[in-house]
Amino acid sequence: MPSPAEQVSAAPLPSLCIFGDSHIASVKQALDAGLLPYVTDHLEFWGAYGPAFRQFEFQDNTVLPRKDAAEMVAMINGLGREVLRGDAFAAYLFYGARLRIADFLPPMLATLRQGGHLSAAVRHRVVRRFLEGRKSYRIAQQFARTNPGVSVTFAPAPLLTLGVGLPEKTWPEAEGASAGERAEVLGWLDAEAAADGITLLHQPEETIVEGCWTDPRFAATGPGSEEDPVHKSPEFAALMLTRYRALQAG
Amino acid sequence: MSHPYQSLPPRAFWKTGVAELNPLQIAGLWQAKLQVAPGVPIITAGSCFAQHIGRALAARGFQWFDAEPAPAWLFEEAAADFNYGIFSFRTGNIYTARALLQWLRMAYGEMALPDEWWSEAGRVYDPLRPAIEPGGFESIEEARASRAATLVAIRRAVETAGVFVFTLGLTESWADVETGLEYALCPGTLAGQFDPDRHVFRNHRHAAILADMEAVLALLAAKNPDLKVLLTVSPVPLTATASGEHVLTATTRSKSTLRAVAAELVEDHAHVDYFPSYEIITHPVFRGMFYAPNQRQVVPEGVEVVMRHFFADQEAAFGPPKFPKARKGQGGRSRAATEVKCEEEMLNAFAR
Repeated sequence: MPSPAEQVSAAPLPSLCIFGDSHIASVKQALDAGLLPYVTDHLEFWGAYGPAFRQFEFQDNTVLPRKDAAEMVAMINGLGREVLRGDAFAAYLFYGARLRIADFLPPMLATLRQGGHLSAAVRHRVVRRFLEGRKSYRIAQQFARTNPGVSVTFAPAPLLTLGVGLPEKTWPEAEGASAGERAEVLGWLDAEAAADGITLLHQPEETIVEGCWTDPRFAATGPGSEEDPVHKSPEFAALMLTRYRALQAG
Repeated sequence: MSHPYQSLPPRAFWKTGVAELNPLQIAGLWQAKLQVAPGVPIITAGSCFAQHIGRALAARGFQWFDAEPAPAWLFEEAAADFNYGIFSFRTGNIYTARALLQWLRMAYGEMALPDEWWSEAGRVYDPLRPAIEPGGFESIEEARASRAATLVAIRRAVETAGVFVFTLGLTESWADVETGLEYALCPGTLAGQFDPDRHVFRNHRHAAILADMEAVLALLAAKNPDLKVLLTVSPVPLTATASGEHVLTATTRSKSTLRAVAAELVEDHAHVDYFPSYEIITHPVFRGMFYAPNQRQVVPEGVEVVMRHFFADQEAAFGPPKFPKARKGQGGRSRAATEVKCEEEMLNAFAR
């Protein structure tokens, strides 16, 4: 099977901005390694990592970095785009961006797998709280609302990597969850996001093991990553972008 | 000439136990026979006042066990709106012994699940807990699934707990004349339609309540032989009575009956105890000082005094509580390492 980079691509997508936090590093690494599918002639990265990611303001359809984040944005973008307007690109892919599926999917699976039940009203509340509790999601909402022709996709940060590091909280009851059970919970998120004009891009099923973990084959690589269950490898990012490419191509 | 009263402690005499004391100095109201120890899972159910007990136990580091916790991301206020975290399972208030018995029998398959549902403005309500979901359920299927989850939680609670605190609340209730099913509230008050040919008023008598509670204890013992039961009687007067009496005398009839049942259960069962929160709030000695101006709701200070008695009398009987040592978490190192990694990754990826 050819690698994503070797696959014959369909027509290129319009301009794309990948917006995010430290997770976009794996996308950049995948790009540099030639692992990404051909997506567009005009791809830009925009974002910040660590505490600087909190230093974004949103005004008039534009994301503005405060002083502490500006330098980092400049480094990540590298093309001098100091602010990010909602109509500057034809498509936006919010990647990671502090919306962590590991904070939502495992506890919900644990509830359901212990015989629990969430009514539609409760589901609506918990999903809204999870999504809208993140500034990045609220920015995505505004982009989609203000710029109807623009494609807005959000790829939440994936599940933690099995056997890597010491996660602060784990959900043993969620282990062993089936694809169907995951799909049920992810479907709640998809439905609410769709109402906001946002498509959610979830991690591929083939990257999930033991019900609620990312396969260690996709663990972050490089120095210092031995204890990092959060970030993933460039190969993982390539899979995500391949899915994104397919999604956009329809 | 000697007699049994000669050797009794001061608390046995009205003069030394009550009259000579400031009401807030009265002590030893509970000769606890059951230990409620830290680390032992405690479950609570019953009428409104049981909520206070569960909350106070949890606040003092005791292990109040929530068998049907709010899902993640449903935080405190919203969770309370949906009746999570109020009792150990999402039944809402269980006012009568019969209602408790129904819930337990349903949970253990000893009673067919009633398939009666109330509707109001296109929403569906569970007649066994009509206030559980604000605005009702969107369908019968949803209501049925939600109740099934609560029955699972009841089983988990009963089989996990070391102590079951149950607050007896009322004797008055409404039931279906054909099926005998007892409702949580009178049909038509919060939802449903009242049908005088179908809905019958019951004011349970002492013998019936005692029989129901004996059946409750037998079922609990069968499912968890080590489970101890701590009874209380709610000091909250009736909101309204359908008995034809004045609500004040109806309240006395109701509470006195429940109090008598509780006493007999304690006398007959070594694993059953009674904590006198009812007396602490209602007795004339306390001059109604723990009631809000409507003479019905109990003010927080009253709950505080009740719980002070609870813990003092536990300590008098069993010594100071021994709290298990908290285990040290290991998450900090991982979190810090992750942050470091995060920054290094970005610097490497976007270095130019």
